[in-house]
Amino acid sequence: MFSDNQKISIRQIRRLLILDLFGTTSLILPGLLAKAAGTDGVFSILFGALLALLWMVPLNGVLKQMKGGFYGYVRQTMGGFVGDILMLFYLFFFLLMGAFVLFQLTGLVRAWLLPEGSWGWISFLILLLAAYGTIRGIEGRARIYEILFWFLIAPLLLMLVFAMRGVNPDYWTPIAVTGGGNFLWGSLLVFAFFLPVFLVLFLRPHAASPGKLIRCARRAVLVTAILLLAIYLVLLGSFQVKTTIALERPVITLMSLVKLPGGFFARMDALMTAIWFFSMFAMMNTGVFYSGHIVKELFRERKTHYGLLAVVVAVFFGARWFFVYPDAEALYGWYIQYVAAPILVVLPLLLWIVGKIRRVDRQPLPGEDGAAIDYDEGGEE
Amino acid sequence: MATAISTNLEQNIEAFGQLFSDCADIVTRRMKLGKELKTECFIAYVEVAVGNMILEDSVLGKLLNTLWEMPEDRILLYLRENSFGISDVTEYATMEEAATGMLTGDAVFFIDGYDRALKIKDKGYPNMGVKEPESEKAIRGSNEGFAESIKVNTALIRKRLRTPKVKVKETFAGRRSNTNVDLVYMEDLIHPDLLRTIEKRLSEFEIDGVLDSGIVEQLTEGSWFSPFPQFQTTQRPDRAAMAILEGRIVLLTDNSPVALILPTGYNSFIQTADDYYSRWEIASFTRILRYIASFLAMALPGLYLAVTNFHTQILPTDLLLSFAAARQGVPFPAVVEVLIMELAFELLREAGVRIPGAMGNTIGIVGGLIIGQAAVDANIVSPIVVIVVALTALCSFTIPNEEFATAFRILKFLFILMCAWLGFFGFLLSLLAVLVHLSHLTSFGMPYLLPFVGADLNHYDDERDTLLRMPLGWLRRRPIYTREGARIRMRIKKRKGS
Repeated sequence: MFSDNQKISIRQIRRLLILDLFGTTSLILPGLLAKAAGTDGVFSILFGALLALLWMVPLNGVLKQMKGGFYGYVRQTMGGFVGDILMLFYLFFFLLMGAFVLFQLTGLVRAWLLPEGSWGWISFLILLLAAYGTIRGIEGRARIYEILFWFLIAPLLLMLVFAMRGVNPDYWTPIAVTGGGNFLWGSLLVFAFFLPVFLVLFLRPHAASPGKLIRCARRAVLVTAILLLAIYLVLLGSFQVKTTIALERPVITLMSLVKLPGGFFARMDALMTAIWFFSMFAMMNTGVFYSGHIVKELFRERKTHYGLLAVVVAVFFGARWFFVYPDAEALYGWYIQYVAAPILVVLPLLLWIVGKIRRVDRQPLPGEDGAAIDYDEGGEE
Repeated sequence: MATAISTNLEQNIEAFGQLFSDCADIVTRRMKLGKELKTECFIAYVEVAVGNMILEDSVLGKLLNTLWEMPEDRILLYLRENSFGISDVTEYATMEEAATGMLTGDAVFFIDGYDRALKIKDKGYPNMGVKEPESEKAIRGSNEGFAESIKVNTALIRKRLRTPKVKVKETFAGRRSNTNVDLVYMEDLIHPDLLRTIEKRLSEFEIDGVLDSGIVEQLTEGSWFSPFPQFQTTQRPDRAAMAILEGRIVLLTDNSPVALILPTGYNSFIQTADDYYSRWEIASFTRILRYIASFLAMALPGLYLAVTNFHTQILPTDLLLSFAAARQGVPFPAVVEVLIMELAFELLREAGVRIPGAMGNTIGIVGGLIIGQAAVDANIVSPIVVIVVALTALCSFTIPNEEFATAFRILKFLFILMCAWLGFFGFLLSLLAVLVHLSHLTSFGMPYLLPFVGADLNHYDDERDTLLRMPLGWLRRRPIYTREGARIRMRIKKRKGS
């Protein structure tokens, strides 16, 4: 019978990753990319996706060395103390990510749905729901994402098709006019937004077919890159570079202006916000879930949910910090650019190399399931 | 401690008399059998449940007639070897078993010199008999519905699935009611774990009486707090048979015409029996309608409030103006208006169910047309709210399963309150909360949202029978409810000349 074993299928993992990559990226990246690379942002998306695919080489190396969970692997590879420090880094990253996305999500709701709504109530209700979504573990979460995926993708594709009617291809030109530095900066930005693909490392013990994880991650990056490309082209073709930079969330503005045939809906703001609401909720849920997961691992919590409760409180106050202090967003940007992103990029590489030297893949992992995995990447998903 | 049946008839009569003292409905009768009327016997039964003992057309009548004409020395031998060839005879070794056997509606028979009691099948308790199910009407297909007798119900299933692989496992529930609860399943199709789970859950409670399958349902379901039922209910034997063919278990309870099917999920509740009897195009169309209806039954009044109170920009100006014009003169806020109408409708529905026969329909017409029109004329509610509430009601009636529809009826009020408070944000939160809840919910280990989630576990075959019901020839595999290795349900042989 269907067992409640906290294992999820490759399709579920792919959808988890796509939603995690797409949510905030589609909302924030187009404006930043237009500012950095203008019309050449299209090529930055392609190059950034290529960088993400290359980065999967060390990720794959780590996956091959892993026998159980990521926490156990890090401790085994780097030693208990350093392992715990590294997990604290990930915990901090997830907590801040959850808080930042909650802040963004609350901002989205207040901007488009409930202008006079109380910040505290909106955040609290969203967070409450996220905690409820998290409490039943990865299986319940994967099912939520599987359903949300269609709530996001189906209307998005539909709206993109309708939005294409207003696209002027002349606005896509001129190309290759941005300087190399700007192009590279744009590509790095795209790559940074693809970094959450490292979540495959955390998903390894939950994957029903761990051998197919990396291919699944590659597909998630490609699908997200294609969606981003389509959105970026439609945005440029509709608004040109300058307006895309000026708009806070250009993709929502674009979608809200799309005229559906029949004329029943005059404006689509609220409906379109719904798409990103679900998508960003998924991203925030990721922050809450993995923070809770790491806290559980660090404090050896088994049956209770005190760790999750602490995470929820931390995320709430983290989001409040963003809300109260105007500089917090810039500070978070600095943290992501100069601290989190470099460490996130380098860490898998470091783990892979140290793991190779220490031959971690040949050592049994105490207390964890060390079943050998066939890493044949072929076959059907 | 159980009292063994003695070879001494007097002792048995005394013990039986003690068990059933002050039971005026229990008929006991002493008789003498054999050609010379020398063998004493004793028969006991529940009045009305057992027919005329002398008549040739009853098993009991036939048995007694034979024994009256038999030499005394051969009677015991005949009974021991069941030489009468009577199939409906059960032997009991203890007085308590015999008493329970009699209380199932049959006669028990003690004979001097024989240390066993015989339960002899007769017509049993009175019941309503097979009739057309009041809910789950089908345009095409059988009109038979489950009866109140569990034996009739198992026979109705057996009539449709004539294979020895259909097993009927009998258990009893209710310390004082001793109600028969049968688990009917296809031996080679079910997950053995599923059978073990339901048996375990049935053994986990002890209750005075089980008077309907609803009591078993509530005591064995996993998530008591969920508004969504975790058992599918049906009054149709063909639906039950279909479920058994899918590797699911049908749980029948004596005195209840409602069978429980487990496991189940959202998709199963939306399916009807005639989905499979009609052509795939119309089956798919009506199924999509039902899915939309299930969403609107829960969300429509809330959406109306969110749009008219918070996000008027969604609607074209003309429509918005006509909404505003319709509300002119109504003294209440929109949410109060919606709540008044919704509660009025729920009252009408409840009254319609409780009032007997044709008067129930009259209440519906009087309530719906006259009171609704009067409320609009008196400016208590606006016509648009009447339309919204009526459409919501229509949607909830479209959901094929009453218990499942009830979940949406209850959730509708959550949506109304959340949308009145937070507008479209409240709507999104409520929708997401329902989604998260459904994603977590399982029915006997099976995710409730199968096959919208986890479809890969059955090679995506289950997706062919969801929003769309693909042509019957494409549904070659059984759903995931069936044990692995037994999922092929159809093979198409090549037609001649094709």
